This record gives sequence, C-alpha cells and structure tokens, in this order.
Amino acid sequence: MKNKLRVLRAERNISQEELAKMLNVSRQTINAIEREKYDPSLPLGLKIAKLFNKPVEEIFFTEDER
Amino acid sequence: MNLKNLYVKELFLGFGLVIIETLIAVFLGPEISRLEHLFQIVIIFNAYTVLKIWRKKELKLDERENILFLQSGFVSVFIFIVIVVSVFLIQKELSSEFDFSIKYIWGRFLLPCFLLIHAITGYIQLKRDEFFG
Repeated sequence: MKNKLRVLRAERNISQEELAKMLNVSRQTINAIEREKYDPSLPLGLKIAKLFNKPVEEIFFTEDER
Repeated sequence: MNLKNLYVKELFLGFGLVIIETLIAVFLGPEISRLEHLFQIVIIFNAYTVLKIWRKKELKLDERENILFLQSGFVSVFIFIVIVVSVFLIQKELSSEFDFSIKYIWGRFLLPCFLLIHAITGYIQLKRDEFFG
C-alpha cells in the first residue's frame, strides 16, 4: 500500500516525533509507515486521516489507484 | 524506542531468574520438592505478570511494536524447541562431562532460557530492521 504521509507532514511542517506524539505511537512506526514498510491498522489510518482532515483514501491508496 | 527498552528489561529479568534458580538449586539441592514446585510456579507467574505490566502499562507498545514483539516470539519458540530437544538428546553426555544429572535441573531454566532467547532474538530483529529497512 502507498501513502502520502511524508508529503502531508512536510506541508504542515510537522516532525516525525511530533506526529508520533499526536497519534500516540513511536517515531519508528511513523518512519515505517512513510517508507511503506508497514501498513497501519484501520483505527490508526482513520486517526491519521482525521488529523490531516482528509479522507482516508486520499492518504492511503493501492499501487493501481495512483 | 520502547521495544528496545522492553528487550533490555526482559534480558535482565532472564538473568535475574537464572541467578534465583541457580541459588535455589544450590541451597535446596537438585531434587525438586512439592514446596519448591510451588515456588517455581509463583516465580514463573510473577515473571509473566511483570512482563505484561511492562508491555501494557509502562512501555505502552504501539500496534507495530506489538506485532514485532509477537513475531520475535514465534522465532524464539522455534529456537527454544530446538535447544530443549538438543539438551534432551545430549543430556547423558552432558551429565558425564559435568558430573551432575541434568534431568533434575534443566526444567528450572526453561523460563529464563526462553526470556533470554526472546530478548536476544527481538533485539537482533530490531537491528536488522534498522540496517536493511
């Protein structure tokens, strides 16, 4: 699964550490999601979408949806 | 990194249990009495409770860390079974080499052994993730 988390975070000028604190996860988890090494659970995905005020499908999408 | 802290604590808990079990074996003798069996169960139960509290309350592992923790658990179980079977197969040779009967004492070190294997496996897995991403 692909995602735009790094882009969204850069747009809002938020560090990985800050985002991790907001989402109550570790910085390594944010890093793993951004590098597309880990697909977050649905609750975490929804939390991220809510935080960036965007629909989930706009942040997370499959390869063929690009 | 909470997972790293958990593995370090697990390592210390494992070593602590090795020391406790060794002291019990030295002072109470190799034969296990019913009372000692009870002590063993209490020690094992406490170790699991401590680990559970560390994992849930103190360190608060997130979802990815929980998955990594469980994955290292699967690998550890495999290594643990291999070690236990190997020890079981070569216990006669070990007993004659070190002049003690391994069948009386090896059961004492099952939990500490598992904790140490789990901590080391988990730490290696973390390092591997860092290097190879």
